Amino acid sequence: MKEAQDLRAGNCVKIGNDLYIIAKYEYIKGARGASSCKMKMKNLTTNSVSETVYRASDKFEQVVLENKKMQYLYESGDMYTFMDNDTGEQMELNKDDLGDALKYLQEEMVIDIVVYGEKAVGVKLPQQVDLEITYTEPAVKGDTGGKVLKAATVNTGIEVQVPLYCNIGDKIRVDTETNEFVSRAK
Amino acid sequence: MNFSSIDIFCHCVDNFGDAGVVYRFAREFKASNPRCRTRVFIDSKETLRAIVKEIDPSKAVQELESILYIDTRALTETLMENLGAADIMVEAFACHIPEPLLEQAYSKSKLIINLEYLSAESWVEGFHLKESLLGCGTARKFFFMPGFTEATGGLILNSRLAQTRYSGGFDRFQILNDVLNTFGITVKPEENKLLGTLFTYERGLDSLLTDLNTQNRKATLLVFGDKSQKSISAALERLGGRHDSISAQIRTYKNVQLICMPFIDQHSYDTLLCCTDFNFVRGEDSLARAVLSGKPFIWNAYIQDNKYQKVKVEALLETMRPFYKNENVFNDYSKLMLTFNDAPEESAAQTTSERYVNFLKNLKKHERAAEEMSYFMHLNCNLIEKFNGFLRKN
Repeated sequence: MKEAQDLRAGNCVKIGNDLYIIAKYEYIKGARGASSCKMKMKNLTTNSVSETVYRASDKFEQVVLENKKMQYLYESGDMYTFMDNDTGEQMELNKDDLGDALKYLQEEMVIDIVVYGEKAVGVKLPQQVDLEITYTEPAVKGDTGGKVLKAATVNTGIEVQVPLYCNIGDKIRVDTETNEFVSRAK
Repeated sequence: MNFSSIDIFCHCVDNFGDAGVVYRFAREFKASNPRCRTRVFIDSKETLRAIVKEIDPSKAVQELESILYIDTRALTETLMENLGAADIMVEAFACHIPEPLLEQAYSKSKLIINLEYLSAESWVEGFHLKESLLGCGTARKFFFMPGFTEATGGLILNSRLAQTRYSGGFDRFQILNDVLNTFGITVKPEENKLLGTLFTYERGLDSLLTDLNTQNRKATLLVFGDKSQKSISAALERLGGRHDSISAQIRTYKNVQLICMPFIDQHSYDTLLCCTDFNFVRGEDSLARAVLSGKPFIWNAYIQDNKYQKVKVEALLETMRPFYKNENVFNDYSKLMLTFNDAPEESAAQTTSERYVNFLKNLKKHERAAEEMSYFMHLNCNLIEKFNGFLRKN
């Protein structure tokens, strides 16, 4: 059994007789240790999607589904296409299935596609991804401490808080669980 | 949905907030649903006793104002089987319903509702009334999030007090004197005395006393709870205050009179907060009371790891911002609230750097904002009304 606070987007759990894949995951620190998690979950039998909330300590039966490493090719409308570079097999996922992954998805990125039966049902993000800053206020010279942060827009369109020394065009490593700056990337 | 019974479960973590909120919720719910059998399962009737004099901790089961109070520590398998589960099961603050009752709930109850802690943070709206798929059998499970906006669960109002206040039958000085006469003190409008309440965690209060003293008015501070009283004693020791000859409960520091108050019942406390010039409150329930009172207040948030309480304070300030017309007054207030809540831990020995001079100087401006917020909350954020509406809809 796994506690709600240990689950992540891309995990699959069994509730009653149904399997659910987590598309979006949000952890909130509550008062006096009573934290909660919000999850957007898709029922793999009925395909219905619901936004749900749990106590951080709620227990779930986790089910490990098959993962396939695939490369993101392109989007068309709400559909996103991925390809297995070894076999050439292609799979599609819609915007809702991608959930949190949309914030970090970049062309040619290779990620784990979660497969149920013969269908792609979700994605599992790597712990960290490299992104490029497309806009931020000019860097402050001499500030190398990294304790003071500023907002930066990255190439996937999301905003990340970065140290003052970062510039437009810099590659940065970001934690996909917390959306926090980790380091500069090479 | 038709329902005829509700069970409210409470685990007292520390202090009085858990018991206080549950007691308040049970009473207000019962008042709006008189035919609904209402039971409160609580694991520290001693804590409840501090708030409600009529509660007898030696009784495992006790009826008070048509609500049954049950000591969870006295529950046996047989007793739980006989008690059964209600149509609505409320877990206050994510507490755990005893397993045998939960099993019964899965086959009999209609809803399990997790009544959460109060927070002003923006995520609260997105969590409010969301379902947990871990409900089972006949019982669906939902999260009910109290808060300060229309899209949250709102605050538990004191309906009796609200009725008195808004019907015009509210005599501020009569109420104050009913409390103060016990100590041989009477306040008159013409005295222009500054009156406040103080209910905080343990903390340094030296600068509060010195700033109150420098006002050109005499001040009386009603000090509630052991922690505030201990903090006041420590501050007075450092500043050199003295005991009043009339009573050991009264102390003075130059122009400031300090009265150590006994615990008073919720309704009296709620009413008192509406009669003073300012209030210092702590935790969750007294914060809600302060917001509803329409009087200026300083909130001492529950201290958490890494000073996480400041996130909660910042969120509250953002909720209050729209009610302020003067940005400078608000910014000054924000600064005070954040400094006040900067402590990493509780300690009456701590020194303080915050200054209250501007807060005290601008009390009338703060009061205008507080009144507007209170009115907004009464009009749009009645928790029991929202709770009842949710039950009817499901």
